[in-house]
Amino acid sequence: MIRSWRTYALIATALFLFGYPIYLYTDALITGGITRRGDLLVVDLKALSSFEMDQDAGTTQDIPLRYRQLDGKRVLLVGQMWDPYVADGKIRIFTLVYSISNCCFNGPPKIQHFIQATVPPGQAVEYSPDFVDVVGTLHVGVESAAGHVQSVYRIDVEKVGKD
Amino acid sequence: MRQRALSTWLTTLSVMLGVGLAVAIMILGRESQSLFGQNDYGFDAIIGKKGSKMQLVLNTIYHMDVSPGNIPYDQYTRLLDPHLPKGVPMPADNYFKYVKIAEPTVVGDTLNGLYRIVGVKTSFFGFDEHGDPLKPEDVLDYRPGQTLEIADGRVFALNKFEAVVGSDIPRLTGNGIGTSFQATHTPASPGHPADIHMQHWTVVGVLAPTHTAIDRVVYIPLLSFYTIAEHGAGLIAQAKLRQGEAPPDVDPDSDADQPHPPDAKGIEHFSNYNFDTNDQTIHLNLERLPPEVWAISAILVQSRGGDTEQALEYDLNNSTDVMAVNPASVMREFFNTFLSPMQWLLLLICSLVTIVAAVGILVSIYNSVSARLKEIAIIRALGATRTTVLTLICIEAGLVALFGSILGLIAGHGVNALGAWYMSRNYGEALGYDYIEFLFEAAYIVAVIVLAVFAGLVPAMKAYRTPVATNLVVT
Repeated sequence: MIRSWRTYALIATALFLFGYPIYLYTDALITGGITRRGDLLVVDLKALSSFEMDQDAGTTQDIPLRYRQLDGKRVLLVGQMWDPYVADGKIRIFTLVYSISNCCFNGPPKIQHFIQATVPPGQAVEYSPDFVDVVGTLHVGVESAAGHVQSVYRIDVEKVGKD
Repeated sequence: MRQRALSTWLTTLSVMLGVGLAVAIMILGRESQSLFGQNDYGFDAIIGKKGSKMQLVLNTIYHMDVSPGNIPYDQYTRLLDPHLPKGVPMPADNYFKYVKIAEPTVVGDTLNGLYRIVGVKTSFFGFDEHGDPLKPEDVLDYRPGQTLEIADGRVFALNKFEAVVGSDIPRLTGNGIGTSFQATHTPASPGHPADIHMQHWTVVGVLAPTHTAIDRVVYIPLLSFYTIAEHGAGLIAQAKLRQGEAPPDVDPDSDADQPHPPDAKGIEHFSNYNFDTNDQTIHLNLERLPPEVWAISAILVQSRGGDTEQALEYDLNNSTDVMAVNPASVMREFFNTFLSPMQWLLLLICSLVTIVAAVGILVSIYNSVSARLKEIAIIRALGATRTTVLTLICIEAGLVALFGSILGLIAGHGVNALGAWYMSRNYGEALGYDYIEFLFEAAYIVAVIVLAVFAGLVPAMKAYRTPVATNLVVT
């Protein structure tokens, strides 16, 4: 049955409008936001931190297995920098979050949203209010103190670049 | 150039002034953040009365503006209580898990109406209540990795009228170790004498320079702040208000206590405290001023890291009376909102100044070319090509710009050196005038020279087009 080109255009548009979000959702579901780019694992920061955990009594076992398996892996994360100590200039330690406004002001902050980033001694990076690419070695595991989970993810920074 | 020395030097001077102004503006733009003396902090939260975040930061760190108000002292003790049960009214949770170090501060008076007096605990300087050093990890940093150090003397006793002063205070006020002072509540104004409290504090320590606003602050024991009669009356009134009761009348201009002789045991009795003249110690009247009515202006907090600062901020900011602010983000927003546009404006001014300098070169050389048409014609008659004449004029413009720029660079840094000296003397923080941001300033000078050469093209073209025969005619 021969259809007009308008019909094909309509089908293509509908496929794009509905199919692409479904593809993105399915892809995130299957990969957990982890994809490979060369020798790097590109990890979606929101997916990495979107799980529930007791903020006081949480343990490493509460972290989903696929993210626990990222421990020691070289990853690329895209997010916003948060430095509570320096208003301007170079920084050595910062926190990376998927979105400052979404992670920290819409509801109580959760420790799994904060990736503690450390730049090697003798080096520093320029603070940026924009989204940044951070490449480094990810460390996964719960660290607690004073009855509260103080850290879930940590990254030894190799490089910070503009997204 | 040598034959027209005066004209050349005047043009060079105009370039020098232009470049000097531009370099001074560039340095000012570069260093404008440091006008605030501090853009990094050893603590990540300030807790204070709900209101303007900027006011709280300016008041607590930079000692500018007035305090947004007082918060109960209870807020401070609760932060450090690991056993506080959940569900108490305010704060609504156990914050010990968020807070590593907390230091209360209280403000309200000045020394001579100029230098702020701040009430703190001995732990602010790294000592416990007996004057013994605390573990380094328990001491609040004023900047990352830097704690306050007493360069001369010792820390004050928490229950004596003693003071530790910032490094600039002895030079600015003459209040060095061993001297005593009174706190000024309100400086004198026409028709009104200064409101000076009766208590005398003795300086026992001077801090090492920090190159921050701390250098111009006088620190007294928190307890001694509550001895002042007006402060006590104010605290009681504020506590009544917090409890929903009508406050008693407080006359801010009256000082209820007057010096009077000690009793047989050597104790002087005042409304808020008893003063033991034997060992010079303060014993606060806890019946009149129990800790429940004490108030503080702010609490400096170093969180435990991770999400704890954000969690503290989120929890307190959703309460009704107090707020927590992150000083770095408040000041970052300030710098981005106000200083970045100002730097663009300064850049625009630099560009205009540079263009004015280039136009100065153009006018000067144009006039000189107009006056030397015969000389140019002679040079041409002797064999110089049009291109040679054009090149000579452009080189002249470039040389004037080069010498003017070098002198301007020196002048610009010199002006800032004077400004730095003045700021260092009066505000404790200097501008970084003594280094050249090579790429930026070198690029600017190259741009000035290129612009001058282009400006020189106008008179050069006039010289280029000069007809030889016409200008060699003897008139």
